[in-house]
Amino acid sequence: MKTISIVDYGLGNLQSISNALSKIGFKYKITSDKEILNDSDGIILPGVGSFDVAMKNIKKKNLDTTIVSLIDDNKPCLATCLGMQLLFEKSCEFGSFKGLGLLKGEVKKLPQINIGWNKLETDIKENKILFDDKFFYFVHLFYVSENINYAHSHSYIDNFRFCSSVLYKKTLATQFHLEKSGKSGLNIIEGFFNGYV
Amino acid sequence: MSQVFRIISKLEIKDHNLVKGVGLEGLRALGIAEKFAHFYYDQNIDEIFYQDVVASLYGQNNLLELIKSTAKNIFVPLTVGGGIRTINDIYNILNSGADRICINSAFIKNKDFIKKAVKEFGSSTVCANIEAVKLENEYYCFYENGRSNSGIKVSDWIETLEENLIGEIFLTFVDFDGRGIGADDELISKIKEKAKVPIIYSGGIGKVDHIISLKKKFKNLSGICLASLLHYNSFKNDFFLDKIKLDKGNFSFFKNNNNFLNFEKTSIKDLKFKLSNEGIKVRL
Amino acid sequence: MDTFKKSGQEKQVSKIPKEVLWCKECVISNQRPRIIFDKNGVCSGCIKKKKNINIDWKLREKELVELLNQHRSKNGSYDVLVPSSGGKDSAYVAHQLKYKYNMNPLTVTWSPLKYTSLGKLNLEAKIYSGFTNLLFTPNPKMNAKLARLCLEELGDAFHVFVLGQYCFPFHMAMKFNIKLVFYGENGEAEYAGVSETEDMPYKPFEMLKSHHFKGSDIDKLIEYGINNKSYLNKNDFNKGDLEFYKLPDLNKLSESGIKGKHFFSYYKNWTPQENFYYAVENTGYSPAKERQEGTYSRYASLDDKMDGFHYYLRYIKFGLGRCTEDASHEIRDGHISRDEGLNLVKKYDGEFPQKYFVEFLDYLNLDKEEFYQIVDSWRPDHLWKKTHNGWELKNPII
Repeated sequence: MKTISIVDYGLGNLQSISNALSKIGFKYKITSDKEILNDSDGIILPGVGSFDVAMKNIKKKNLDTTIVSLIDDNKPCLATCLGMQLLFEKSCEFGSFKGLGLLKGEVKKLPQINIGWNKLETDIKENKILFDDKFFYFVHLFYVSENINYAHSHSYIDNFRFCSSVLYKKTLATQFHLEKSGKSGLNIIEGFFNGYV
Repeated sequence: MSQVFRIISKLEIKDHNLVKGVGLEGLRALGIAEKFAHFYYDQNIDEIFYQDVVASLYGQNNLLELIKSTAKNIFVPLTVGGGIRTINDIYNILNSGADRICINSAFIKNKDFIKKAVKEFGSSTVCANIEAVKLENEYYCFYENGRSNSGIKVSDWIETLEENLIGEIFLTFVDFDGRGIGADDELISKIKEKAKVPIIYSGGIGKVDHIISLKKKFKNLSGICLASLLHYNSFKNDFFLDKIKLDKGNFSFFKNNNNFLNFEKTSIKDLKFKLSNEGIKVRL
Repeated sequence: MDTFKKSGQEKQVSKIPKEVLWCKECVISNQRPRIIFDKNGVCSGCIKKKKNINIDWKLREKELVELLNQHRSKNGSYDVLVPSSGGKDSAYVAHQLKYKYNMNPLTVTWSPLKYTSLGKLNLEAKIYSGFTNLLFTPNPKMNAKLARLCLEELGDAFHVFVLGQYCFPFHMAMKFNIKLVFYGENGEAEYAGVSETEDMPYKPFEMLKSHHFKGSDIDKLIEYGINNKSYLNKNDFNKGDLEFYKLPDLNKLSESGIKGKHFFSYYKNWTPQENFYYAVENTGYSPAKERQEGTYSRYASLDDKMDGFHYYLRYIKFGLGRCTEDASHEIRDGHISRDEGLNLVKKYDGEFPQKYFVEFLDYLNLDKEEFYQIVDSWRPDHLWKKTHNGWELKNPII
């Protein structure tokens, strides 16, 4: 049975993610320990809250270098919502804050909060299969522009286009909440850790 | 591209039972609340809303165990309301597994609490519930589950909530609640131009056509919150055949195996399909 | 101001026990007139409700059908009379008798002292669901004076309404040649009064006086009033109007074949909350928009602006307000727990009916001080004490 570690840096709906992993049948650990993260079959980088608090917490626990090296070393990783945004260079949320810097690009503010269900648009055939033309649940005020490297899908709010997921090495980062998107979301989590990537 | 029109189910809860009144009055029990939540999740509901309808009578929100248990099995957003009074209450509910909270009485009694809650948890987590009641051609905000009149007009209150950066508003038309006679056109026309924050409507939906005509009149309506239409269609379903403990609660109706008010025979799948055929974007 | 509470017409208050005991299962106390507690401290209302489990409702249904078969007219003439305020219970009874059991009811309404607009709407909605209804409004000038007399001498202004509600329908039954008069609930059985009427489908006339008229006699009361009150004289009354506050002559009633008050609650597992839903569905009933003063609910007793004072005076005389009664009933029905009931009673019982206070004083032609004096005179010493906070119950429920 796969063991997935959920990165605990103090922000994130760890309960929901744990529940999702249990439902699927994965064992899980909630941890900030480098060794445990390293030993697991995959990791999840969650995130609900503000970018700067997240980065402060991550730095305090010395998790920044850990996360970056795990991802660069092809550890299967799912990042959701704020977790995805942290992978980038910086965010302009209430100022300017540096992110983990794994990916080139900037996190910017939406004109208005996006709460609700959106589809994922992609030209890549394999992605179409993964997303299965389903809707996923978004709740965010910040976004990443769709014109970035490793963009995996984009979505629309009215006519406004933004990046809804990114695929880098063995990391799938989603702006939407995988653990709140019904069975479609659980299917992606399961499929991903069972070797999609 | 327009936003998806969300189909949400409201489950009013007393003890562990799903209850449904008329005009927010009456505690007729239809079964175990959690079973309904599972059933609707299986049927592709977009969101579940748990409302503790007796919290205002007995003290505080009493749903923590139910939330913990529900969050283990349903993976769409879970919003919780009823008797939420303090920042601590909100923490407890979110930590139990809810995604959003919905507050009415506490905001009405203390406007400052709105800003406080939004600051602590973010707009996307904090919603408000409006219990709209029509009195002499004007719509007023009631609280404590439709028992007391705040004297505040609905349109004024929406403005106040927006100023304080509320994430979303659940608007319930109490007069039609549980009656299945359709949405209230007048209330809708009064607020649809003014409201900038997303609005979810509830109160009176008895058939799919009611939803269709409502959405056509109020194009920016974010979603519909259904209770009676879904509950009365579901409670006799095989899914619920397990023995229910009929020990506490108003189960007379349930025991007598009656019908009530001829709600249209429909399901979540069926209604989503019909809405889609009418050009309303839904999550299929 | 005239003297009050001197006629000796009120017979209940002196009989209540001096030691207050609370039912172990619901929230009523032994102060309720005619209530009986068993050796375990459980009241007759709770005991009766528990016995319901043993009742064969199918058999009762059979009995109902047999009774109705005996009375159903063959030519569509009125065969049952249903006293109907427009409230949920009588709406349920009338609708069932007509549409389920194919009877031909005439519904009659003894007007509330002062109709609320919701009360009028609900009555109208019920009528529009398919009934011929006779609304009888006693002369308000006379009624108001009688109400004041009842407040001063019986401790309940609302009693004047109660008298008519119990007696008037029988006059109509005689005038319309209807032998069957169907009320909703047997108040004594459902609400913890004497248990001898529990197993009775109808209450014979002889019992009505002690159970419902506070043991008093309207003629004696009026005579006392005329002789002792400055606001009453014999020209305020005429024989025609006063008829309806008394039962018809018992011999004439007997001759006409009318046996007494029949109760629908004898034949059905009576659940007032479900009557509410039934009335919503079938007779266009609407609950109140605001919580009723003195209780938590919005679906019952909505039609009279003055009835809040009936509950309030009951609270004064017996320490049992509206919420106590409502909560006790819901506890017995299994809808709420005793703890929940307790919570509700502590929160709402005895709440002053402020909404129609001015109208009430106006109706009775009393000023505030006079009203408070009368109210205070009805507080039994063993129940109330005066503190710097005002009046407090010596033995509130725990």
